[in-house]
Order: sequence, then C-alpha cells, then structure tokens
Amino acid sequence: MQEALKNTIDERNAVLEEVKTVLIERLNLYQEPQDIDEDTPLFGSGLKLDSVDATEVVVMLDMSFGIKVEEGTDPSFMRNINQLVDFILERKRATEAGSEAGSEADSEADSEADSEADSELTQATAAA
Amino acid sequence: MNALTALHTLHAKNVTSFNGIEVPDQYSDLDKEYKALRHNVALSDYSHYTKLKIEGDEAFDVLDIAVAGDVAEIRDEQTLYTVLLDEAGNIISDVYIMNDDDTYIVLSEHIDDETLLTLFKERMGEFDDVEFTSLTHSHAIIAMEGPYSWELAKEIYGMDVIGIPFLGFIALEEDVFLLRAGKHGEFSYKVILPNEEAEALWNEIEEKGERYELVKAGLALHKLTRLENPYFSPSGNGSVSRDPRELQLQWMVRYDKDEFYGREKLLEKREQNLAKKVVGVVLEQGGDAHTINSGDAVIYNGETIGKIVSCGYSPSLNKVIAQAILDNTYAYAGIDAYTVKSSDGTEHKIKTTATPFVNNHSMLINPNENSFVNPDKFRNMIEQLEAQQAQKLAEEEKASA
Repeated sequence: MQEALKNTIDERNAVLEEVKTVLIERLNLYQEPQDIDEDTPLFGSGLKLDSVDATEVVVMLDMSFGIKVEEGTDPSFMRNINQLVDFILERKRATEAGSEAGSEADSEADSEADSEADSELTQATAAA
Repeated sequence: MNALTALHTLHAKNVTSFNGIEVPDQYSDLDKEYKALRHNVALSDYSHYTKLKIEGDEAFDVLDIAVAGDVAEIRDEQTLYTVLLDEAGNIISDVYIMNDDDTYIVLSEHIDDETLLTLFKERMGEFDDVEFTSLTHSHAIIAMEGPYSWELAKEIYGMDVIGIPFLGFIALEEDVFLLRAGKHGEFSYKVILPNEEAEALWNEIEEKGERYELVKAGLALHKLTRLENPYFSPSGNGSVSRDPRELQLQWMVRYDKDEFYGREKLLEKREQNLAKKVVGVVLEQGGDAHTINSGDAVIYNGETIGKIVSCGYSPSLNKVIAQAILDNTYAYAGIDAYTVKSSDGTEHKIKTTATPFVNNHSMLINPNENSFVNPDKFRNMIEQLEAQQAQKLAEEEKASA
C-alpha cells in the first residue's frame, strides 16, 4: 500500500476508533468498539439513539474534537458513524487550511509590518 | 393467488410470484414509481411477506432464542428488526417481530411460511407453551410509502398515525395492524389486514391518494431503493456473505444476550480478524446502469482488492452507485484511490463512501409542520426555513428604512 493511502486510512481509522470509544463512554452503550460497524445508523435502528443523545453527540464533537456545530448545520452528518467521521475530517481539514491561510496572512502582515518598520527606521535614520 | 391478484392482473405491468404469493413486480413505469416513492406516495402490495403469529406463555422465550436481536427490548406496539442466524452464525434472513401485548407477529420477506415455522420449531428446545398461527395466506399487507405517506395514512386512520414512531405500530383490530417500517429510508406504513378487506382498502388509498400524486408500485423498484439505502438482501449483499460483520449488520445482533441460535460460532468469529467487508462505492465520472456489473474486480495499484456486489444508477444522485466487498485493509469510506475494471477491460475511478448513499426526502419533512395538500403549510423544512429567512430579511429592511 502506498504511503498516501496508508496515511489516509490511518487518519480515518484513528478518528473512527475515537468516535466509537467516546460514544460508548458518553452514551453508556453496551457494545465494544469492534461491534460497531462504520455504516451503523445512529438513530431509529442501529445504535437507537434519541434526541437527547443527539445533544450528547454535539457535545462530544466539541469536547473530543474541538468542533462547534453551528445552529442550522445540516444534521445529516449524524446519520451514521461514517458520516460523523466524514464531518470531523472535513472540519479538521478546513481548520488546517484556515490555519495555513492564517499563517500566510500573518506572515504577509508581519512582512508588511516589517516593511513599515523598515520604512520608519529608514526615515528615522535619514532624519538623523 | 392473493387477495389482490385479480386487481393486479388487470392493472399491473408485471406480476411475479414471491414466497408462493403473487404480487406486482412493476405497475407502470419504474421511473414514475421511483419518483413517487422518493417524493410523494407509492402504493404497494407486500402480501408476499410471511406472517406468523406466535402466542402462549413461552412465546417470548422461543423468539428470544430463535433470533439474534433482543426481544426483551420491545414493549407493546413496538417492533424489533433483527436477523435469524444459522448454527454457523450466518444470516438466514432479516425479520420484523411485532409485540402485540405479548402476542408476537413475525414478518419475513425472504423465507416462506413453512421454512419460517420449521426454523422456530427447531429452536423451541424444551419450551412447549407456544402456539403458531400462520397469517400468510389469510392476511394481505398494503403499503403506503414515501415522504407524504404519513399524511395519506392520517386521512384514513386519524391523528394517531403522526404519533407512530419508526418501528412502532397500532393494533387496529384483532390481527389488523398499521406498522411504520420500511427498507428505503422514506416514511412507510404497512397495513396488515384480512384478505377480504384488502381490495376495499387498496381502492380507498388509491382514491384518497390522488391529491398526493400517488403512484402504484411493484417490487422491482426496491432493487434500486435498497441499493441506495442498503439492507440485507439474499440476492444482493447476501449473495457474497452472510456474516453480520462482513455485511456491516452487527447492529442487528445483540452480542451480550445470554443465548441465541448461532451465538457461539458468531462469538468465535468475532475474535478473529475480519478478512473482508462490504462498503459503498460511487463511480466518480459518468456511466449508466450497465457501466459496471456485479462481479467486476476492484483494483488498487494493479492488484485485485475486491469485487462489486450489486450496482445501479441512482436517480437521486445522478451517479452509478454500488456495494463492493473489499479486503478489510482497504474497506474504508472516503477513499478515491481504487478503480473498477468492467468486463470490456475499462477501468473506472471510484470513491468509497458511507451508506446510505442518499439523504432521503422524508428527512426534510416534519409531519407536525409540513403538508403536501394544505396550501397554508410548507411542503418541507427547507421551504419553511427559506420563507422564514426571507421574512426576517424583509422585516430588517423595513425597520432600517
């Protein structure tokens, strides 16, 4: 297996395991992690969660993954374990992309500030 | 024959025999039937389901040993959707078990009356205070299915319909039930009733369904809907594996139950590493229902890592979708590194995905707020939300003016 695929699978597997473990702990599920398949529905059938549990899932996302679910977010990400993991990974990538963009912006801002400082320094030096 | 065979023979395009009972395979046009199920209401005859009444002081004990799910979970007017396993821990069939005040009605789509009865009798052990009554040939099942089926069912059976949860039911009379259960992700109401009452109900639903743009549908439709929303299917995923772990159906099994048929072997298998698993697959570009086929190889880096189990064209997604069984090392959603090699040797890029493939239209409908026929209500929550936002914006503009 090529490195890129291995990394993708390892990343997904790590989130899958954490999601299952945290759900079992927070919702007192009787299953072991290996008994919960990735496409297991969360509500109705499957894990048979209810609306109170849905709130717990939202809290879990915040506490365990630092993800805040905004009001009005399409709730279909809670349909099954795999979709929940997709949602976590998408948010993680968006945050990383945001941080990188942020760093670049910071870096540009720093450069601009440096240039301004240089300019001020140049003017001050010239004035001296 | 069933109660509605004469009617279907007159009006349906094709009638087929299932479990020895004749039901429509296709009523008119598959596209029309699909659209009705996914957006309005479809009317279907499910009388081919085997229907077995189990009663007596030990009915619970027999059922609890016979099936892999926890029968103790279901109270009066609740239904358990679970599986019957064989001794080796493999799935024989899925079953619904309805608890009608400690009398149980078992519904099975994939095994006939005689086989189901034999399976239960083999599993009775020392329990003998049990009585079995077949309702298969005395009762029909008529189904209203689709995002607005709740509203049509409400017209016929009253407000109580709105309160029926998924897998709940109402006992209308003795051995007459309104069950909310389906295998396609949309609202679904099945009426189990004596044969002699079936034709009158069918006609009533058809007449009242007109304003919901109801379409009569057959069983052929569900080859596609159950691919979009995968369930156990002997001719689909069940054709490559009967192992609940490989099929991702462990949620239908209650491992912590003390005893059930097939438990010992299933627990042994649970301790072993999983070799393969069924996952959802979407063709990345183009294609139609014949681009790939069952049995086509799934390839990664020139190596075969699995094969296509079942496939078709999803009108909801406008994409070719499939279930594939893959070497477990590769069986994860969200991977776009694989291809499917079709019979002409062409390789098609695929992406593995979570299933169900579709976000069902019924998820957008709140029976307490929406309506298909009431012009004073919005048809779904999206329309409702958009209208609320537009109103808010208008109010803000007015206030700032």
